[in-house]
Amino acid sequence: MIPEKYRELIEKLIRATRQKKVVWEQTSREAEYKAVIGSSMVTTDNWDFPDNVMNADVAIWNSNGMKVDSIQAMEGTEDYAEIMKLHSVARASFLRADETIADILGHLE
Amino acid sequence: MKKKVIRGGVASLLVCIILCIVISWLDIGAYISIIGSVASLYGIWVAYLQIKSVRTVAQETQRAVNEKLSDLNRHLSVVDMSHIISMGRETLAYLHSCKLEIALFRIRDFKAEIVYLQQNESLLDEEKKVRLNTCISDLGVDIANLRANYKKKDQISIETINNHIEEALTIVEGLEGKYKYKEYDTGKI
Repeated sequence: MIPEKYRELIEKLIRATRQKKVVWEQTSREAEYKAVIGSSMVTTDNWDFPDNVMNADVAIWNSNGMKVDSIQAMEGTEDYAEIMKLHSVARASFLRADETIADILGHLE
Repeated sequence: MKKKVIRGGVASLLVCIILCIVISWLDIGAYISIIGSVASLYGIWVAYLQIKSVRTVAQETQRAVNEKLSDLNRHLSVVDMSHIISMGRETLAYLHSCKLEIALFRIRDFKAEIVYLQQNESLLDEEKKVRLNTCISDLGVDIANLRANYKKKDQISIETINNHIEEALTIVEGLEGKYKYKEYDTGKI
Protein backbone atom coordinates (compact mmCIF):
# COMPACT_ATOMS: atom_id res chain seq x y z
CA MET A 1 0.00 0.00 0.00
CA ILE A 2 1.48 3.34 -1.08
CA PRO A 3 1.80 5.77 1.86
CA GLU A 4 -0.48 8.80 1.63
CA LYS A 5 2.39 11.30 1.23
CA TYR A 6 3.66 9.34 -1.81
CA ARG A 7 0.17 9.14 -3.29
CA GLU A 8 -0.08 12.92 -2.99
CA LEU A 9 3.42 13.35 -4.46
CA ILE A 10 2.59 11.13 -7.44
CA GLU A 11 -0.67 12.97 -8.12
CA LYS A 12 1.01 16.37 -7.90
CA LEU A 13 3.89 15.27 -10.12
CA ILE A 14 1.49 13.95 -12.77
CA ARG A 15 -0.49 17.20 -12.69
CA ALA A 16 2.65 19.39 -12.80
CA THR A 17 4.07 17.33 -15.69
CA ARG A 18 0.84 17.71 -17.70
CA GLN A 19 0.96 21.46 -17.03
CA LYS A 20 4.62 21.44 -18.24
CA LYS A 21 5.79 22.72 -14.85
CA VAL A 22 8.00 19.66 -14.41
CA VAL A 23 10.30 18.29 -17.10
CA TRP A 24 11.58 14.72 -17.05
CA GLU A 25 14.88 13.47 -18.45
CA GLN A 26 16.40 10.05 -18.93
CA THR A 27 19.04 8.83 -16.46
CA SER A 28 21.79 6.31 -17.08
CA ARG A 29 19.10 3.62 -17.26
CA GLU A 30 16.92 3.49 -20.33
CA ALA A 31 13.60 3.26 -18.48
CA GLU A 32 14.45 5.55 -15.58
CA TYR A 33 13.44 9.21 -15.67
CA LYS A 34 14.37 12.07 -13.36
CA ALA A 35 12.84 15.41 -12.58
CA VAL A 36 14.86 18.08 -10.77
CA ILE A 37 12.62 19.98 -8.38
CA GLY A 38 14.41 22.76 -6.51
CA SER A 39 17.61 21.27 -5.17
CA SER A 40 16.09 17.79 -4.90
CA MET A 41 15.23 15.18 -7.48
CA VAL A 42 12.58 12.53 -8.11
CA THR A 43 13.20 9.45 -10.24
CA THR A 44 10.89 6.75 -11.49
CA ASP A 45 12.09 3.47 -12.94
CA ASN A 46 10.58 0.35 -14.51
CA TRP A 47 12.50 -2.93 -14.86
CA ASP A 48 12.05 -6.66 -15.04
CA PHE A 49 13.60 -8.49 -12.15
CA PRO A 50 13.54 -11.26 -11.07
CA ASP A 51 12.05 -13.90 -13.37
CA ASN A 52 10.64 -11.36 -15.83
CA VAL A 53 8.35 -9.84 -13.24
CA MET A 54 8.07 -6.12 -13.87
CA ASN A 55 8.88 -3.71 -11.06
CA ALA A 56 8.43 0.02 -10.74
CA ASP A 57 9.68 2.55 -8.25
CA VAL A 58 9.62 6.18 -7.28
CA ALA A 59 12.65 7.53 -5.43
CA ILE A 60 13.46 10.85 -3.82
CA TRP A 61 17.02 12.22 -3.84
CA ASN A 62 18.41 15.03 -1.73
CA SER A 63 20.71 17.85 -2.84
CA ASN A 64 23.78 15.69 -2.07
CA GLY A 65 22.65 13.04 -4.54
CA MET A 66 21.65 10.56 -1.83
CA LYS A 67 18.49 8.50 -2.02
CA VAL A 68 16.27 9.75 0.80
CA ASP A 69 13.36 7.39 0.36
CA SER A 70 11.66 5.21 -2.25
CA ILE A 71 8.66 3.04 -2.89
CA GLN A 72 8.64 -0.03 -5.08
CA ALA A 73 5.89 -2.29 -6.39
CA MET A 74 5.61 -5.48 -8.44
CA GLU A 75 3.49 -5.96 -11.53
CA GLY A 76 -0.07 -7.03 -10.84
CA THR A 77 -0.51 -4.95 -7.70
CA GLU A 78 -2.53 -1.79 -7.32
CA ASP A 79 0.57 0.13 -6.25
CA TYR A 80 2.38 -0.86 -9.46
CA ALA A 81 -0.42 0.61 -11.56
CA GLU A 82 -0.26 3.80 -9.50
CA ILE A 83 3.51 4.19 -9.94
CA MET A 84 3.29 3.30 -13.62
CA LYS A 85 0.87 6.18 -14.15
CA LEU A 86 3.67 8.54 -13.12
CA HIS A 87 6.24 6.55 -15.09
CA SER A 88 4.15 6.78 -18.27
CA VAL A 89 3.66 10.51 -17.86
CA ALA A 90 7.40 10.95 -17.20
CA ARG A 91 8.25 8.89 -20.28
CA ALA A 92 5.86 10.92 -22.42
CA SER A 93 7.38 14.13 -21.04
CA PHE A 94 10.90 12.95 -21.89
CA LEU A 95 9.92 11.79 -25.37
CA ARG A 96 7.87 14.99 -25.93
CA ALA A 97 5.05 12.67 -27.00
CA ASP A 98 2.28 15.30 -26.91
CA GLU A 99 4.29 17.79 -28.96
CA THR A 100 5.26 15.11 -31.48
CA ILE A 101 1.65 13.95 -31.95
CA ALA A 102 0.47 17.58 -32.20
CA ASP A 103 3.18 18.25 -34.79
CA ILE A 104 2.17 15.22 -36.86
CA LEU A 105 -1.52 16.18 -36.66
CA GLY A 106 -0.62 19.74 -37.61
CA HIS A 107 1.17 18.56 -40.73
CA LEU A 108 -1.66 16.21 -41.67
CA GLU A 109 -4.30 18.94 -41.57
CA MET B 1 48.51 60.88 16.31
CA LYS B 2 51.57 62.78 17.56
CA LYS B 3 50.42 65.95 15.80
CA LYS B 4 46.96 65.63 17.33
CA VAL B 5 48.44 65.25 20.84
CA ILE B 6 50.64 68.36 20.36
CA ARG B 7 47.69 70.29 18.95
CA GLY B 8 45.59 69.18 21.92
CA GLY B 9 48.37 70.28 24.32
CA VAL B 10 48.70 73.73 22.70
CA ALA B 11 44.90 74.17 22.72
CA SER B 12 44.75 73.21 26.40
CA LEU B 13 47.53 75.68 27.22
CA LEU B 14 45.70 78.46 25.36
CA VAL B 15 42.41 77.64 27.09
CA CYS B 16 44.25 77.66 30.41
CA ILE B 17 45.85 81.08 29.77
CA ILE B 18 42.57 82.59 28.55
CA LEU B 19 40.68 81.31 31.56
CA CYS B 20 43.39 82.63 33.92
CA ILE B 21 43.23 86.08 32.31
CA VAL B 22 39.43 86.19 32.27
CA ILE B 23 39.10 85.25 35.93
CA SER B 24 42.27 86.93 37.09
CA TRP B 25 40.46 88.37 40.16
CA LEU B 26 40.30 84.89 41.73
CA ASP B 27 42.81 83.70 44.35
CA ILE B 28 45.72 81.22 43.81
CA GLY B 29 43.54 78.21 44.73
CA ALA B 30 41.17 78.94 41.84
CA TYR B 31 44.15 79.14 39.44
CA ILE B 32 45.33 75.72 40.53
CA SER B 33 41.82 74.35 40.16
CA ILE B 34 41.47 75.71 36.61
CA ILE B 35 44.89 74.39 35.58
CA GLY B 36 43.99 70.98 37.07
CA SER B 37 40.65 70.84 35.19
CA VAL B 38 42.28 71.74 31.87
CA ALA B 39 45.05 69.19 32.47
CA SER B 40 42.36 66.53 33.14
CA LEU B 41 40.54 67.42 29.90
CA TYR B 42 43.83 67.18 28.03
CA GLY B 43 44.43 63.74 29.58
CA ILE B 44 40.98 62.55 28.45
CA TRP B 45 41.69 63.86 24.94
CA VAL B 46 45.00 61.94 24.77
CA ALA B 47 43.32 58.76 26.08
CA TYR B 48 40.54 59.08 23.44
CA LEU B 49 43.14 59.43 20.68
CA GLN B 50 45.01 56.36 21.91
CA ILE B 51 41.85 54.22 22.04
CA LYS B 52 40.93 55.37 18.52
CA SER B 53 44.41 54.51 17.26
CA VAL B 54 44.36 51.03 18.86
CA ARG B 55 40.94 50.31 17.32
CA THR B 56 42.17 51.34 13.84
CA VAL B 57 45.22 49.07 14.18
CA ALA B 58 43.01 46.16 15.31
CA GLN B 59 40.65 46.66 12.35
CA GLU B 60 43.53 46.78 9.88
CA THR B 61 45.05 43.64 11.39
CA GLN B 62 41.69 41.84 11.14
CA ARG B 63 41.30 42.87 7.50
CA ALA B 64 44.84 41.69 6.68
CA VAL B 65 44.18 38.33 8.40
CA ASN B 66 40.89 37.91 6.49
CA GLU B 67 42.62 38.66 3.18
CA LYS B 68 45.34 36.11 3.92
CA LEU B 69 42.75 33.50 4.89
CA SER B 70 40.82 34.17 1.71
CA ASP B 71 44.02 33.80 -0.37
CA LEU B 72 44.88 30.59 1.42
CA ASN B 73 41.37 29.23 0.94
CA ARG B 74 41.50 30.03 -2.78
CA HIS B 75 44.93 28.44 -3.13
CA LEU B 76 43.79 25.28 -1.35
CA SER B 77 40.64 25.21 -3.49
CA VAL B 78 42.72 25.31 -6.68
CA VAL B 79 44.74 22.35 -5.40
CA ASP B 80 41.49 20.53 -4.55
CA MET B 81 40.09 21.25 -8.00
CA SER B 82 43.18 19.77 -9.71
CA HIS B 83 42.68 16.67 -7.57
CA ILE B 84 38.97 16.47 -8.51
CA ILE B 85 39.80 16.85 -12.21
CA SER B 86 42.36 14.04 -12.17
CA MET B 87 39.90 11.87 -10.23
CA GLY B 88 37.16 12.56 -12.80
CA ARG B 89 39.47 11.72 -15.71
CA GLU B 90 40.52 8.52 -13.99
CA THR B 91 36.84 7.58 -13.54
CA LEU B 92 36.19 8.24 -17.22
CA ALA B 93 39.11 5.97 -18.13
CA TYR B 94 37.66 3.13 -16.03
CA LEU B 95 34.25 3.62 -17.64
CA HIS B 96 35.74 3.63 -21.15
CA SER B 97 37.50 0.36 -20.43
CA CYS B 98 34.26 -1.02 -18.87
CA LYS B 99 35.90 -1.66 -15.48
CA LEU B 100 32.62 -0.81 -13.79
CA GLU B 101 33.45 -2.06 -10.30
CA ILE B 102 36.49 0.21 -10.01
CA ALA B 103 34.61 3.00 -11.78
CA LEU B 104 31.91 2.71 -9.11
CA PHE B 105 34.45 3.35 -6.33
CA ARG B 106 36.04 6.26 -8.16
CA ILE B 107 32.74 7.87 -9.09
CA ARG B 108 31.72 7.77 -5.41
CA ASP B 109 34.91 9.60 -4.41
CA PHE B 110 34.46 11.99 -7.30
CA LYS B 111 30.91 12.82 -6.22
CA ALA B 112 32.01 13.30 -2.60
CA GLU B 113 34.65 15.81 -3.74
CA ILE B 114 32.11 17.66 -5.87
CA VAL B 115 29.73 17.86 -2.89
CA TYR B 116 32.63 19.22 -0.80
CA LEU B 117 33.43 21.79 -3.48
CA GLN B 118 29.79 22.83 -3.69
CA GLN B 119 29.84 23.69 0.03
CA ASN B 120 32.49 26.35 -0.63
CA GLU B 121 30.07 29.13 -1.44
CA SER B 122 32.74 31.78 -1.92
CA LEU B 123 33.95 30.00 -5.08
CA LEU B 124 30.63 29.53 -6.84
CA ASP B 125 28.10 31.87 -8.37
CA GLU B 126 24.41 30.96 -8.41
CA GLU B 127 24.45 29.51 -11.95
CA LYS B 128 27.40 27.19 -11.21
CA LYS B 129 25.83 26.15 -7.94
CA VAL B 130 22.65 25.04 -9.74
CA ARG B 131 24.66 23.22 -12.43
CA LEU B 132 26.82 21.47 -9.82
CA ASN B 133 23.71 20.54 -7.88
CA THR B 134 22.25 18.83 -10.96
CA CYS B 135 25.58 17.04 -11.53
CA ILE B 136 25.58 15.78 -7.93
CA SER B 137 22.01 14.45 -8.26
CA ASP B 138 22.84 12.79 -11.60
CA LEU B 139 25.98 11.20 -10.18
CA GLY B 140 23.98 9.95 -7.19
CA VAL B 141 21.55 8.16 -9.52
CA ASP B 142 24.46 6.88 -11.63
CA ILE B 143 26.12 5.41 -8.54
CA ALA B 144 22.89 3.65 -7.56
CA ASN B 145 22.47 2.31 -11.10
CA LEU B 146 26.09 1.15 -11.32
CA ARG B 147 25.81 -0.56 -7.94
CA ALA B 148 22.65 -2.40 -8.95
CA ASN B 149 23.72 -3.25 -12.51
CA TYR B 150 27.52 -3.41 -12.72
CA LYS B 151 27.31 -7.05 -13.75
CA LYS B 152 24.69 -6.33 -16.41
CA LYS B 153 26.38 -3.74 -18.56
CA ASP B 154 23.54 -3.64 -21.08
CA GLN B 155 21.21 -2.27 -18.39
CA ILE B 156 23.06 1.01 -17.99
CA SER B 157 24.12 3.72 -20.37
CA ILE B 158 27.83 4.28 -19.86
CA GLU B 159 27.59 7.18 -22.30
CA THR B 160 25.11 8.99 -20.05
CA ILE B 161 27.32 8.49 -16.98
CA ASN B 162 30.26 9.82 -19.04
CA ASN B 163 28.22 12.89 -19.94
CA HIS B 164 27.42 13.56 -16.29
CA ILE B 165 31.09 13.30 -15.30
CA GLU B 166 32.12 15.45 -18.28
CA GLU B 167 29.58 18.09 -17.27
CA ALA B 168 30.93 18.17 -13.70
CA LEU B 169 34.51 18.26 -15.03
CA THR B 170 33.70 21.18 -17.33
CA ILE B 171 32.45 23.21 -14.36
CA VAL B 172 35.43 22.34 -12.15
CA GLU B 173 37.94 22.99 -14.96
CA GLY B 174 36.31 26.37 -15.57
CA LEU B 175 36.60 27.22 -11.88
CA GLU B 176 40.19 26.03 -11.69
CA GLY B 177 41.16 28.14 -14.70
CA LYS B 178 39.39 31.15 -13.28
CA TYR B 179 41.08 31.02 -9.88
CA LYS B 180 44.50 30.00 -11.17
CA TYR B 181 44.43 32.92 -13.60
CA LYS B 182 43.24 35.28 -10.85
CA GLU B 183 46.12 34.29 -8.56
CA TYR B 184 48.65 34.52 -11.37
CA ASP B 185 47.27 37.93 -12.33
CA THR B 186 47.74 39.31 -8.81
CA GLY B 187 51.23 37.80 -8.59
CA LYS B 188 50.36 35.45 -5.75
CA ILE B 189 51.78 32.39 -7.47
